[in-house]
Amino acid sequence: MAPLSIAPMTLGDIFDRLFKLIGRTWIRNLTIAVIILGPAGLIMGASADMGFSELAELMENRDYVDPFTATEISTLLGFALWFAIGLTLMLIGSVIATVAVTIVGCAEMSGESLSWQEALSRTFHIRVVKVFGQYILEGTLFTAIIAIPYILLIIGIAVDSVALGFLGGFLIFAGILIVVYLGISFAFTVPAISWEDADVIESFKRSWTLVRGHWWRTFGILILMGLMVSFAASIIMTPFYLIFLWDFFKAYFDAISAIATGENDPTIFVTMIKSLGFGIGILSGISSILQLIVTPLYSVVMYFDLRARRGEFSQASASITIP
Amino acid sequence: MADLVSQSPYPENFVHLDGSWEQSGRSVNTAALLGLLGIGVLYFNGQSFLAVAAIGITKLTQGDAGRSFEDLLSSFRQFVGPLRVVVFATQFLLMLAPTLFLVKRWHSSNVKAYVRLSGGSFADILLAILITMAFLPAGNYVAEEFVRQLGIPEKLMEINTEIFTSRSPMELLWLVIVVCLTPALCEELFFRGYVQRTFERTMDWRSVVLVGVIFGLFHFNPLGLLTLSVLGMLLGYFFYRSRSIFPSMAAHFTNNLIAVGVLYRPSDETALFPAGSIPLWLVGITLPIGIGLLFLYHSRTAFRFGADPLHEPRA
Repeated sequence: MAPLSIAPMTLGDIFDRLFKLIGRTWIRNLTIAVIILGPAGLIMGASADMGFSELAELMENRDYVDPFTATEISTLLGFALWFAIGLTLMLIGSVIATVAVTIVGCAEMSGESLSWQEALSRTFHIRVVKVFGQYILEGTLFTAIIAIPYILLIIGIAVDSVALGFLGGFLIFAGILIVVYLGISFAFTVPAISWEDADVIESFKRSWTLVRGHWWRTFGILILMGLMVSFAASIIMTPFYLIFLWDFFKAYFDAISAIATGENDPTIFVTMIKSLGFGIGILSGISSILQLIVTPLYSVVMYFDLRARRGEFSQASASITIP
Repeated sequence: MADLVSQSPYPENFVHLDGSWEQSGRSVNTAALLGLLGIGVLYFNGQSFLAVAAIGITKLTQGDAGRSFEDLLSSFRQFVGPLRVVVFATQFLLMLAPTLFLVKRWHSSNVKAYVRLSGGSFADILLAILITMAFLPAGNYVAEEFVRQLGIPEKLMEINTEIFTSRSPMELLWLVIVVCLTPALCEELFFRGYVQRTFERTMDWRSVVLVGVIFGLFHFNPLGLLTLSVLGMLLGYFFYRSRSIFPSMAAHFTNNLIAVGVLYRPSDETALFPAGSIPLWLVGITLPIGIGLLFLYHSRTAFRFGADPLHEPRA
């Protein structure tokens, strides 16, 4: 394969490439996202529906003055379990779809057009396990950076130690800055694993090397793109909220009317909770699908830009090889 | 610029695409989308921030709201004044100014010609106003139907419309400036003058539909989405056919003016126009009139539409 000729991009070029990439790949990426996240979204909708129904039944039948019985506590735990199952499935689906969309985007940037079937067959490979490993490692690291000072703060408050409390507070603030710094530095681990077949630790090093010297630029562009994508998703989601939460809104306005007229009808709140479950699942699914068509692609474009800035595409030996 | 115009084989108002985006040969659709999202983020975040600040300051100086609908309504009336100032300022500063900046920097030094701030006959403008008035009962009927179906309490709708309600001639005048004149100028130059105008270069008539729907979505009002999208398409169509922004500006102004007029209450109790449901018979009369006038607009603008260049060659 001939070496790629990708030059470092300006901000305008990055957006131009991104929108063109979205335009060229959205049908394939939508197919991937629907195949992977559609069932997960439906399961989440159904599990949330079951969970909220159980919660509503509990509210309908219990006297609020009485303490919770063992059966009621198990019902509440059942609700939490259903919801957790749905959420976990959505998260797993999101990671798989992110890898597949990243592979489609990277291939397109390299001048190769991959079908969604090929992208999925490359995704269900050891690399998706590596991406899970990378997410778990990064998540654990970031949680630890924030959680340890937080524990210090709590201990400081518990033992009435001003110094420990201050130290905890200061370390939380410092921890947030460190997480932001590392988050940007490790923003390209997924393309590194998905496209270069890097190992988990290698992917951290690779992303760190790519971002080094361009941190502020990467930070600014990622923030800008994140704001735009979330804004676009929020305006596109507006009609979906009306459609899928229609019953919830109807019950909500009934509740407001009841309050205005001084009536106290708890069944309205039960209806509200019952009508929330499936809508939330479906809306999460649609929102995730929409974001998945775009979000991995801006990482891909920036990943290629950063590689071009390191001069990787000017040498034949560094040309892109399809794993 | 003057030399370019005099040597040009195109009409005087022809747009010279000498901006940086045009020179770089990037996609114009990307420019439209980027402008739309960039200005959208800037406008909504800026407006939300300022609105929260205005409400916070008002609340600090004027105390707690209370719990009943009446308390909420009277409390909301305290916020309405500062909120109107926020809307007025952000429309100019965070919507219009970036729009004009983007047009000049990315597309053409001849901003006025790019956004079509010229042309359009008096008859086009008059027809656009009449068509908007004729479509208004149908639009409101659909919006009211959503409210009825959802059972939204009347008091809540009162709070919702409070920002458009005036109780004195001076307040009415200020409201006309904030709610009618400002959006007619700023939103039209942004949605039609920039976004639709830029999409139009590759998408032709489809840009009218696309930007109409975007206009509806941008209002973050799910109940009014259908009505606002149709209104957006109508305004886009006026702009597209007449090759001028004035008919859509006049139509937008009229649409908002009627809303403000209906909500004008000279005394606190009586409305100038009785509020209530739009009768279906009124929709039955005005809708065919609107469609007829639309055909008239279509045929009247055919000559100019055919004569004016749609796609300018890029620099």
